[in-house]
Amino acid sequence: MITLNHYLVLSFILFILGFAILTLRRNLLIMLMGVELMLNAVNIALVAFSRLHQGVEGQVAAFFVIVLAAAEAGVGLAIVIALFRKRASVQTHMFMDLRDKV
Amino acid sequence: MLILFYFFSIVSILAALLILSAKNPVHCAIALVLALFNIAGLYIMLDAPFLAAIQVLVYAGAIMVLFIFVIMLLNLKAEELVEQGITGPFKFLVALLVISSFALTALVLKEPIRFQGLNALEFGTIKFVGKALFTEYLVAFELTSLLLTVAILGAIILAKRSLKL
Repeated sequence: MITLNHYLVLSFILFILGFAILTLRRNLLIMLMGVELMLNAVNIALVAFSRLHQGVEGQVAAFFVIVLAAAEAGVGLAIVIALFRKRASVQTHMFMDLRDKV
Repeated sequence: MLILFYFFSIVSILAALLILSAKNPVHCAIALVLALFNIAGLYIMLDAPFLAAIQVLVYAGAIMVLFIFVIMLLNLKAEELVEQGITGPFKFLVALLVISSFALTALVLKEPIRFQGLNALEFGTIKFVGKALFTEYLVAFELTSLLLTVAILGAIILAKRSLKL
């Protein structure tokens, strides 16, 4: 018997893994993939709650999250391309102009 | 059904771990496609076939093709794929966060919440979601088209060659 808890725990694990990818990797492209994974993890929880209450709201919210992810990926990848043209790298240590001198 | 759930979830978690560890961005992108397909399978198990189709079409189809297209376009050399190490305390902090949050969910989710049988046969179909999108959420739905237009314009302007950063 699959309960809501199964889906919530999976959603949680995927969200944390996406967060770990976003914080531990240093490649801009892979960091963006981490963001996509986090959005998907939230979508699982939304759809699971939608199934629990048998309402349409969760699925509509998940739909809008997917649209948002598409917009975010487009703009994010355009920023990566612009940064690559400037420094010929996608590693974050090349873009530390605003960082405080240590 | 339980076996299917565990299959989908374990494959998606393994794919996420692969993204965390793989050196080559192309491998990461393929692993992410795998994870997205398995999440689409979970949507079908949750009686949301429309969202599963959208997930495969938009995510695994369009967004991941965009990712792989950009990876190919940048044509990264092997020496550019080597990542600078992450400082020890920071890694430790993330590990602590992961472990403590697992413990927290286990604590919060002690009581199992069961799903009830479906009331309406059309739950999760295109008709079901589309009716809501074009009546109750019409304004939000139309605003997403504006959002996508702005995103396209932003992406074109950002990626234009003449941009002075």
